[in-house]
Amino acid sequence: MRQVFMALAVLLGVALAQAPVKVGVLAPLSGFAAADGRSALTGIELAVEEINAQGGLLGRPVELVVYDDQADPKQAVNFARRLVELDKVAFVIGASYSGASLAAAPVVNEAGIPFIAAYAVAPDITRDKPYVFRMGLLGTVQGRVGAELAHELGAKRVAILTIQNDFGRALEAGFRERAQVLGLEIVYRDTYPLGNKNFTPILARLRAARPEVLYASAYFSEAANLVRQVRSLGMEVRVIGQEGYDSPKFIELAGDAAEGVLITTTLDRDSTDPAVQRFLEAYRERAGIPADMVGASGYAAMQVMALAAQRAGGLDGEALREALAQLEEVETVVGHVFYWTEDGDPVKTATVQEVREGRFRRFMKFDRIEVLKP
Amino acid sequence: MDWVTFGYLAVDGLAVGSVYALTALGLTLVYGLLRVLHVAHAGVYAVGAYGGWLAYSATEHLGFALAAGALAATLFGLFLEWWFYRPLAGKPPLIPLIGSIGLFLATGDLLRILFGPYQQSLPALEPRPVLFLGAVGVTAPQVAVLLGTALLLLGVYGVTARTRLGLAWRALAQDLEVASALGIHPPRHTALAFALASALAGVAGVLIGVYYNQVYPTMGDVPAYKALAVVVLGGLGSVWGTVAAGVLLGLVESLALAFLGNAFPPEGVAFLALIVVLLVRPQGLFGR
Amino acid sequence: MYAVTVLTLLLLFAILALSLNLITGVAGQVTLGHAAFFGVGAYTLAYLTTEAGVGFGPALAASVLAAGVVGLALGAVSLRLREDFLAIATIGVNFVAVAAFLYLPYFGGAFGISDIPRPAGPLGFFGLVLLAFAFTAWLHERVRASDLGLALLALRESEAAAAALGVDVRRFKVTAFALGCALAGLAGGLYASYIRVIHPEDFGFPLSVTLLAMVAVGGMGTLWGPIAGAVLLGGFAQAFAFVQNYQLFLYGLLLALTMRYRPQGLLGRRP
Repeated sequence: MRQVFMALAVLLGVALAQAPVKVGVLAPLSGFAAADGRSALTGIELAVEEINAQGGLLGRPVELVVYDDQADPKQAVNFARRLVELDKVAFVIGASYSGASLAAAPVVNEAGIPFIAAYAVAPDITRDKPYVFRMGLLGTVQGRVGAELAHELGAKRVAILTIQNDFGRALEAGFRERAQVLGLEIVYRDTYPLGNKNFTPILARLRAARPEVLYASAYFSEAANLVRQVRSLGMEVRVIGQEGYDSPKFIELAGDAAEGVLITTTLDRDSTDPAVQRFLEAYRERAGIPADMVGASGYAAMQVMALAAQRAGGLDGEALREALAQLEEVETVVGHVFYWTEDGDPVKTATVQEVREGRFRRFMKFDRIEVLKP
Repeated sequence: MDWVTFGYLAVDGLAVGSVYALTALGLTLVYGLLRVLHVAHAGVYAVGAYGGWLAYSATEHLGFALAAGALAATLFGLFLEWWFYRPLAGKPPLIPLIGSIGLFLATGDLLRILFGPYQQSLPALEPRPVLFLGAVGVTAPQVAVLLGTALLLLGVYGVTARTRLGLAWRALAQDLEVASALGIHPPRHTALAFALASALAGVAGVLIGVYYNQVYPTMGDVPAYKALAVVVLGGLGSVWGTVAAGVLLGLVESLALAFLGNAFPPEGVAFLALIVVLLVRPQGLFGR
Repeated sequence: MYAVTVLTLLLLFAILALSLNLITGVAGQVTLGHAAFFGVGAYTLAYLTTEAGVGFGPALAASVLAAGVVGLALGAVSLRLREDFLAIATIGVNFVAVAAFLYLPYFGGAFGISDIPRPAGPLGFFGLVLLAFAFTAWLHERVRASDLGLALLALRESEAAAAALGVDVRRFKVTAFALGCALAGLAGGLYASYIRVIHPEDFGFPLSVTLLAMVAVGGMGTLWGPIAGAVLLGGFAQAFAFVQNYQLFLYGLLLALTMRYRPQGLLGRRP
C-alpha cells in the first residue's frame, strides 16, 4: 500500500513539476446571465479536477484562465484576444451566450486555436471557422425533436410560444419544419420577450385555440412562471419544453405545477452510464444543488477537448483541430456524439425528461440520426 | 372575448398594476421632496425581497417575511439617504441620478455575491384559486397582492392627508424654501419620507417574490425603469397620479397583450405610448 | 494586438462619450437613450454592407446621416419636455429603438446581423478609428469654442440668461442633439464593422447608462473629462479582470463614490 502511495506521489510530483496547460474560459459570471455562467464554470472546474487527479493532460496539470464576459460581445472580443495573446492558452471553452460567443469565436479561430462553444445555440458560431466546435445540440435540431415528441404523444393540435431571441427562434424553426412533415396542426403561435414573468394574458388567448400540446421555448425562470400560470388558469394543455428548462431551479420555482412537464434535453438523469451518475453526484456535492444541462455541457466540453489533445498527442492548434474533427462515437454526459460535422456541430443523441415527483426522469431516449443531423 | 377571460385579465392586470403602483409610490414620495430620480429604489426593492426570503426560509411565515422585507428595505433606504442623497442636496439632478444608478448596480451585484446568482423560491402562497368572483378564480398570491396594496395605500393616505407630518411634506414638495422658512426641517422629513418609501418598496419586493415565486439579484432591473415610466405618467411627484398610472399600466398591459398578442414588442409599445403622452401632456397624464 | 484591440474599443467609447457630452455636457440636455443612436449607426452600416452590398465608405456616411436625422427629430421633441421628463422620455426612445431593431424586417430580428465586412486588418482599422476620434475631438472643440458653443454653455447655466443675450435657445438645443447623435452614428458604423456581429440588445438601455456615467464621472462639459471617463469605465473590465467576482460591484460603487465625493467628475472644475 505504502509503495502505491509513494508511486502516486512521485507521478503526481512529475505532473505538477511540468509547466501547466493553460485553458481559457469565457463565461458570464455577473449580470443577467450569471446563473448559467456559474453552472458552466462549475462543470468545467469539475472536469479539470478529475483530469488533474488522474495525472493531468499529457502529463501536465491543467490550469484554467477564466474571464467574466458578462455575456457582452465587446468584452468577449477583448478577453478572447487576451486569452490568445497574453495568456497563450492551448484552447478556449466558450461558456457564454450566443452573442458573446459569436464575437469571440472568430478571434480565437484566426489565431489558429481551437474553441468549443459549450452550450450556445446560434448556428453561425461554428460556420466557416475551422477551429470552432460546438458541444450543445443545435437549436433547430432540438426543435425537431420537440415536434417528434408531440407526435409521439398523439397530439394533433399544437400551440407554439417562442422566446424572442436566437435560441427561441432556432427552436421554433426546427419545430415547425418537422411539424409539417409529421402533419401537426399549429393552432396558435406567439412570441414573448426575454425575462417575461406574466404569461396570463397570452395564455388566455392561447386557451381559446384549444391546443393539446404547448411547445414553449423558455429559460428556467420564465418556464417556471409559465407552467404555474397554466396551472392557475386550470388549463389541461401538456407543456413541452427544452433544455432551457433543464435546471433543478425550474422544479423548485414551479413547485407542483412542474409535474408532468416534458423537456427535450441532453442530460439524462436516468442514464445507466456510470460516468453520468458519477458526474451528477460530484456536481451536487460541489455546487450544493443538482446538476443542470449547462453545467454538464461545460464538463463535457472540457472532457472532449482533453480527449482530442490525447489523440493528437500534443497541444499544437492544427493537430488538436484535426483530432477534434476526427472524433467519433464519443460518450459524454450530454449524449452520445456520433461525430462532428464539417462545420463543427455535433450529431448526437437527445433525451426527453419528464418531471415526476419533483425530479427529472427519463421519458424516452432519442437517437434517430436522420432527425438529429443538422 | 368572453366575460370570464376578461375577468381573469382584469384581475391579473389589477394585481400587476398595484405592484407597479406600490414600487413607484416610493419614488414619487422621494421625488416630491428631493427632486431626484432615485433609481437605487429598485435596489431597495431587491434588498427587501431578499430580507423577506431569508425570514421566510427561517420561519415559513408570510407575515414575518413581509415585516423583515420592510425592515431590511427601510434600513437600507435610510442609509442611502444619510450617506448619499443628503450631502448631494442642491446639486444638479444628473449627479445624484448617475450615483443612484451606480448604487443600484452595486446593490444587485452585492446580492449576487452574498446569496449566489440563482433564483430563490419564496413559496409562501400556492398559485391556486381561493376566491371566486362568478366564474373567475382569484389565486392566493393575487389576493395577497391586491389586499396588501390596498391596505398600504390607505396607510399612506392616512399619513399624507391626515397628519401634520403629511402636511409638512406637501408643503415641502410645493416649495422647499418657503417651507424651511416656516420652520419645517427638511433633513428629518426627508429621512422619514425615505423610510416610508423604502418600506413600501420592501413590501412590494416580497409580494412580487411571492407572486412569481422568485427572488434573484437582478429582479430590480425591470422595476428600475418601469417605475420611472409610471412616475412620469402620473405626473412626477403626484401621489395619487402615480397610483392611478401604475394600476392603469398594469391593466392596459394585460389587456393589450391579450388582444394584440406579442405581435408588437410590448416594451416598445409602452414607451412609445409614454412618449406620445408626454408630447401631448408634457406634465404627465395626471400632473398639474 | 491585444493592446490594439482594447484601444480600438476605448476610442469608440471616447467618441461616444464626446458626442454625448455635446448634448448633455454642453447643451445641458440629459439623455439616457444615447445607445439608440449608436445602434442606428451600427444597424445602418450592417444592413447596407451585408444585404445591400454597399461599400464601407458610403455605408459609414449613411450611418452618420441616419443617426443625425433621428437625433434631429429627438431634438425637436426635447424642446417640449423639461429636464427629468426628458431623461425618462429618452429611456423610452432607447426601448423603442431596440424594439425596432428586433421587430423590423431587414434587421435580422433576434439573430441580429453577422459576418459584417471589415475593410482593414486590426491595425489598419485602429488607424481608421483613431482618425474618427481625432475628427470627433476636433469637432467637439470647434463647437465648444464657437459662438454656438459659448451660447450652449451659457444655456447650461441659465436658459433665461441665454435667451436674454439674444441666443436662439431652441435652435441650439436641436443642433446639439443632431450633431451629438450623428457622431454616435459614426461610432456605431465603425463598431459594427469592427465587432462584425450585432444584436438588438447590444444597444440597450444599460449601455446608455454607461455612456452617461462616462461623461459624468470624467467631468461634464470638458474635453478630457469624457475621454478619461471612457477610458476608465470602458477599460474597467480589462483592468479589473483579476477581481473577477467583484467587477460589477466595484464598477457600481465607483460611480456612486465619484458622484458622492467628487460630483463635478474627476477632471471637471468645481462650479
